[in-house]
Amino acid sequence: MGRFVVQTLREEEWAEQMRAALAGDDAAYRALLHALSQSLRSAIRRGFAHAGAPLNDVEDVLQETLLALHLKRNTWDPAQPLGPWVRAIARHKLIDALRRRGRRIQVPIDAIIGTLAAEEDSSELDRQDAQRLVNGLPGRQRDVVQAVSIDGQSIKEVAERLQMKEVAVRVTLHRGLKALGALHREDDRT
Amino acid sequence: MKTDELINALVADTAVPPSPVHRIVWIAAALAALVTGALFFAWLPVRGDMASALTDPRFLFKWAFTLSLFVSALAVATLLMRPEQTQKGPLLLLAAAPAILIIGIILELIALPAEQWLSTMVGMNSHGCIVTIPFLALAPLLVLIMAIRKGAPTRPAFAGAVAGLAATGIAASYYAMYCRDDSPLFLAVWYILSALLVAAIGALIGSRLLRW
Repeated sequence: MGRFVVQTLREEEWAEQMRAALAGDDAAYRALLHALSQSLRSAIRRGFAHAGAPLNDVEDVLQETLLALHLKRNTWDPAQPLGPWVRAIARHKLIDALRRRGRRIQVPIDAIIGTLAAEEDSSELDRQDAQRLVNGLPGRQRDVVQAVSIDGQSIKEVAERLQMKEVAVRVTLHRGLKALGALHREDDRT
Repeated sequence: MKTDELINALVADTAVPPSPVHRIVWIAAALAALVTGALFFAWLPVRGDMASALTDPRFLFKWAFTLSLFVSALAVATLLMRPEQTQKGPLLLLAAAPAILIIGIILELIALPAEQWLSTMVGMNSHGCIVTIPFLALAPLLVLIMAIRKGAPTRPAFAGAVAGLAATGIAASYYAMYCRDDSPLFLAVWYILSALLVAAIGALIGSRLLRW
């Protein structure tokens, strides 16, 4: 089976998982984000290598891209394939990240992002920078994002521990993630 | 934070399913139309000959132009909210309103004697038009830009400009009920200049507010 066929099959599986996720299947969403993070990590690494940018920022850009995929998932049309949409967002974030690092885009980004499902990279690094960004969130948002992500607590557990209503925890988490996306964008400019 | 830990947070943030972009845009458009209507009726009187204007082909043509500008720009704005949308073809929708206007201009040039062309084009109240339409368009422009922010436009300035065209379409549709200059020749100059002005403002705002 050729690489192209493998990629097409993977992307169909991704689209199926995203449809399930939008219908409320959290397990499918988690599986999708894991699969995407491995493919995107490899694509972003290639993009950084081509542009001659330091590879220690790859994980940050990956996290920024995953945040964008999550916050902008309403812009995907479930009647369309998922691959082109993921690539468009990854491309936008990669170009933006390279520009902010003062790299001129001379590499064929589309060729780099194009082979999204073909390669995987699970060599994850713990990012101190990302932790710093979470610390930059205002009080309650930081507590909730920290508890749900790093401590792996459920919404219910967080609500009990912080003595908040579950609805309030959900709203705070959503605002925190939006704020985190904004912090990513501002961080490299300064 | 590890990427797996971020994924924990993303998966936890799925209680409220996000609205599809087309729904966001059309709700924003309805809101923009209501707000602009309220501003218009509070600020300007409806022309005294409104009843007879409704049977005047020139007046009806004016609405055909402004409403087609509104609808076509709105449709393109919805497309621009999708990041993977890179085809140029759908952008041709933006030619709909100018195409309608050109037909009107040709018919008007045939209908009117040549010595009236210039005075009709200059009209009675061009100042009012070029100031009032952009002013009325500011509120709907902001409403539409806030809606487009919920999308993922990869060309922020262009998306802002298209929002400006849609906002002009709304504002000019109301303003048509005040302005007594109904000729396509008048529209070709003053309504177009107003649209370009608002599109430029939209591009400026969009290049700042529509980044993500």
